[in-house]
Amino acid sequence: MGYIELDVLDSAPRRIVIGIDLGTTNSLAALWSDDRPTILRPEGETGMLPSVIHIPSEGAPIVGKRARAQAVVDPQHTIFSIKRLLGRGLADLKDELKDLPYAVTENDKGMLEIEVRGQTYTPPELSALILRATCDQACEAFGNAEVASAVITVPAYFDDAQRQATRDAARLAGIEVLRIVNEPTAASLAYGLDQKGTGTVAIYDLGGGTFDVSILSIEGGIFRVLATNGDTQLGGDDFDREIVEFIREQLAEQVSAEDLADPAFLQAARLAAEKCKIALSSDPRHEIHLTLPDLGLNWRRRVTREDFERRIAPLVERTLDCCRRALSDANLQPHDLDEVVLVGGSTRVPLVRTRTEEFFGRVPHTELNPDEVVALGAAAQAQVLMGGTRDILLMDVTPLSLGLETVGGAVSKLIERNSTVPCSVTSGFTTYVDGQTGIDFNIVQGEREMAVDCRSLGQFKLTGLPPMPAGMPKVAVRFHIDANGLLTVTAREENSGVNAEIEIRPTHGLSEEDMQAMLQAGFDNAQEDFDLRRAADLKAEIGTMLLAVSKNQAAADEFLDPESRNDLAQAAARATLASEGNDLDEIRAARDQFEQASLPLAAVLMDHVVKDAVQGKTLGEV
Amino acid sequence: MNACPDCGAELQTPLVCDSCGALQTVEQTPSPFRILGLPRGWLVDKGELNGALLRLTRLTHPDFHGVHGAEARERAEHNTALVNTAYSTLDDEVLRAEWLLSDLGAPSPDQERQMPQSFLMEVLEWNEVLEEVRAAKASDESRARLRSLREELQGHRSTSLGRLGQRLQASDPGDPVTLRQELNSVRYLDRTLTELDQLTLDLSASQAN
Repeated sequence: MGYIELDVLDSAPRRIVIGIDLGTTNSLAALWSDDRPTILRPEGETGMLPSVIHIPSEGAPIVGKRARAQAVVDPQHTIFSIKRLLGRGLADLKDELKDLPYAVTENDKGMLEIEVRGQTYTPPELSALILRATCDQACEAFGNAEVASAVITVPAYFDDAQRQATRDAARLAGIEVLRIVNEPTAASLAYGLDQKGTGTVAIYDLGGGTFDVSILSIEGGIFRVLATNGDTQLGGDDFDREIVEFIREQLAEQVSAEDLADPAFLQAARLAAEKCKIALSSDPRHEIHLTLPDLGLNWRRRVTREDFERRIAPLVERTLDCCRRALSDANLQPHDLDEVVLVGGSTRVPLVRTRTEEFFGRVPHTELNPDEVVALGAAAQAQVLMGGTRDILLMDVTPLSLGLETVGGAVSKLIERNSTVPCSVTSGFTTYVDGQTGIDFNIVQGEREMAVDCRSLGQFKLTGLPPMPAGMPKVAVRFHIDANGLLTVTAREENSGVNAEIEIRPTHGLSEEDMQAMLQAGFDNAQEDFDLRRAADLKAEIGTMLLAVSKNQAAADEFLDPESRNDLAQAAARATLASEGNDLDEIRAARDQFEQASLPLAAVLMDHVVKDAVQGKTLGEV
Repeated sequence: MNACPDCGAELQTPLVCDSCGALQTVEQTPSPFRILGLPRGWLVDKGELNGALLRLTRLTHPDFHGVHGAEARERAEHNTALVNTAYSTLDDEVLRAEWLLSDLGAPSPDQERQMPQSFLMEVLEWNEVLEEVRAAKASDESRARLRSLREELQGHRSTSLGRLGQRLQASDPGDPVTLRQELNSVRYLDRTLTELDQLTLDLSASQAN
């Protein structure tokens, strides 16, 4: 039996550690192999998985190309650009909401929810579906593999809530997160490996929904971020929205306002806009063609590159404002840079190329595939974290200042933006009332002076202080931003040495309880999914058996005794009925009974085969 | 200097053993000069400071300790955070001066809020320029005024820091209260410069739109 055991060993899936670029528009995975990172793509495909989810009326959600195909046909049940909602609240989204064909609400815990077919989904749950599908596709490309853990990239300018939400998504997808890495930093790694460069580099990363710029110094394999800046609500999607806005303006007279807000119209306009944007990257003009039979609309309109550029120019200028701030924080001038690298699909837009060239005073580096560098860099970082190489090291920064709300509502800064991570700061607190055993504080992230203008990460409640007179307790609260850019808070009362408990209520995130409930629901669903698949397999088997019986009905009528014939007919009827339902136990029982009842017929048939063989016929001729 | 409990080699920094790479347990936060292995004083060689940062980070960074278990990773996070804080304290002249002042027992900014008398008249003039620019529309003239004000403030800042540094580097730095007042004026200048840069950005943004 030795060879069978070996066979089992060989067929066990290989556990791989991958890098995942979880993008607004597309997601993809890469793996380190043979001393370099490579994109994992199924045969004949790009490996880019559209970050689109379709919730069908029956069965499991669909992710990727098939989901994107549903965008026009069934817009209300098709979700795109979910990354823009990760870790956000309703107030953060404002005018963005009117362009979404599905309803977004906020629950009483400040968590966004999207309702599809009467079921609500949070952004981390939907992102988890994309992560899962990306892993599945990667494993399929690799062949017989499973993902052991992954490095997942996020925009450098993501705040703590957005990072936490990304990590929650991975947890819901059942993926162990090895590290959360900033997208431009990951890109710099891929660039550095490619160019073996040394010097000061700016990475300009304009993706589907987010913009980042990072200034790095690369020296002896150490990739050190000097400053980063960006806008997590600015990307290629916004270019599309400008064109959608243009289409709406043009159609305002012939189409009612109600129809212009119709999900089907919006989705069709969005796709036409995207197509137009892509075409204008290579052609000077493009004809938008919109056909919507339901609205009696068959509309054509020519758009020139100049028209398009005029509309998106303010958005491109906003990216350059970020570049200015990043340079200023790094204490550098544009001419101090040795190289500018463009990353992200939206850097294919010619205006982006010309404006960055003008701004930085040099031709940007565009040789690397802007869609792939981030995933490639993530795979390289995964290799470092697995102990595979010590030749490269990333030193990243936290993008936003971290502070505490003070009594007057102002912000007292604890950690400055662009501080190298990991970093820690310890701050002292005391009580105001005799016997007080808890202290509340609001932690905010942002650059503004007043707490209300910053992003609140959550209410932290310090409990378990030993009762003492007011002002006596000396509580040392340690704020630590780890290498993932994630905040952890610990506290200790210094007189008693008691470790105080910290309770965190995230402003726009999942609490540990929510998380556990979702994971549990995931397990329950997994059982349900498993049952459904098992039932489908059994039904298929029953189908085959029914077909075989009806094919041999003549033989059954001729050779079976009445009792066996009756048993068989009854079993077949039960199996047919069971196949119409989804009761796994009943299907299984029906199949077993059917199998039993068909044994006499099988015996009769076998008998005939043997007889025929004796009469000089081959088995194949029977 | 202490010895590494793992291999017995003499420790060059309290955070990690150069020789065997073992991360040390650090209870009290050592001085930034000790952490980075640099001589204590106002004058810091930027090349040496950078070199120390990169050399130490290679030894302590959590990326290189992830496979050694949760405890090692935790210690790596902690010790690398100490390296980073020490680096930023010494890299920034104001933070470095703050550290040296507090080490000399000088009053904190809350205890001593005064700035040198000679400085106050100029503060009024600068504020006037900022107010005028803010009230006026974006123009080349406004930008030119901000540029020259920026130069003036920068000049003051480096003179002030130079005076402070000279005293901090001396064997007897003198009265800690006047040291604090000098540093207060530098901090004031920094706040004004930040305000000025924001104003410059706003001007170019409003002109671009």
